[in-house]
Amino acid sequence: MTKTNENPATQRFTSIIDQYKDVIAKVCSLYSSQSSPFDDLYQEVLVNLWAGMESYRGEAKISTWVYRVAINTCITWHRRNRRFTENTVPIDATVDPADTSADTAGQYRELYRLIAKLEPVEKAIVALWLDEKSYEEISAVMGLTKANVATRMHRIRVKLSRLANQ
Amino acid sequence: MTDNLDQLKEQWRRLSVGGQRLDDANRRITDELTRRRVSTTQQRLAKRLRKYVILGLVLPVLAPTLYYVLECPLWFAILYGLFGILMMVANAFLVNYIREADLISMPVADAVRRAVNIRLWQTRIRIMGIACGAALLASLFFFIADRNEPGLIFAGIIGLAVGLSVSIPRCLKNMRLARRLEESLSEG
Repeated sequence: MTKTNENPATQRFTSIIDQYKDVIAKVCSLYSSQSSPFDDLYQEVLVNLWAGMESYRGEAKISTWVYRVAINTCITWHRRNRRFTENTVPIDATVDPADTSADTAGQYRELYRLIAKLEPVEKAIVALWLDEKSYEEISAVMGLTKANVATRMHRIRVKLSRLANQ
Repeated sequence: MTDNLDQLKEQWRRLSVGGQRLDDANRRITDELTRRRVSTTQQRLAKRLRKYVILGLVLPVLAPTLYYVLECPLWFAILYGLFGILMMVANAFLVNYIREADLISMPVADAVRRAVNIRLWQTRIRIMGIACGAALLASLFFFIADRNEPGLIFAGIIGLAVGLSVSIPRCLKNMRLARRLEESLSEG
């Protein structure tokens, strides 16, 4: 994807989204809805990453920064930017599991269905946990203490179990 | 299900969303970003609220019209102007609060708290604006009625009704969203 005539900022941005596109897409897929379509959220996250690159000074790990931008965009401040999206083709929001067995696909659909019922902050914690982030890393992204993360994760499991049995 | 959560962790890590379509979209979006100036979510929010700052400035400018053209009492024209200044200052405070921190890059919990504060202040300013504005408009109708111009009164009532029907649901929605975010943060 990198072109030789790209300036350093573009190269850096391209490198970031190449490395983290799955992370961003997964976060956006968890928060997408009819009022906030996947392609809209995804593009908004990329805009915020592009604009935020200038002010990013390496205070946090780059993965932490990317997660924060993606989650904050999805949770708090998403507004449809009609002018920016009018000429772009919507991204197909279908999730294609690497393993295409019917049973696994069914489990994914069930998992997404249950996670969709969680509150916005809970979804963020689950997304990070499913990405095998440690409680310490989750704490860095979320700005919560490790103990708080552990407590919330326990409550999320209980809540998912209750939702699954309904 | 929660047992399955642990099993699905590995599969979630291997999950690929969008495939080639995502790569194509990344390329298109990067081209757009490099070609034209784009505003972040935070910048667009601040810009939207800056319009209300400018609107607030308009009222003191219009106040002399009320006194000299519509022959409203001087105290009313002064109150009208002061209302505009109050709304301008309140919205300017909110714009400054939005701009003083990087809302998108800060830790999620901090961003949510800030988002809640912003929504709550937006709502309070709006409610104050609606209450004071409605009172001023009602007084204005009273003064205009003396001039026997039913068209003006009719237009004013329509404007008030439309304004309230747009503002009040927005206030309620903002408060609901803020409350929901606040609750999700306070659990645990």
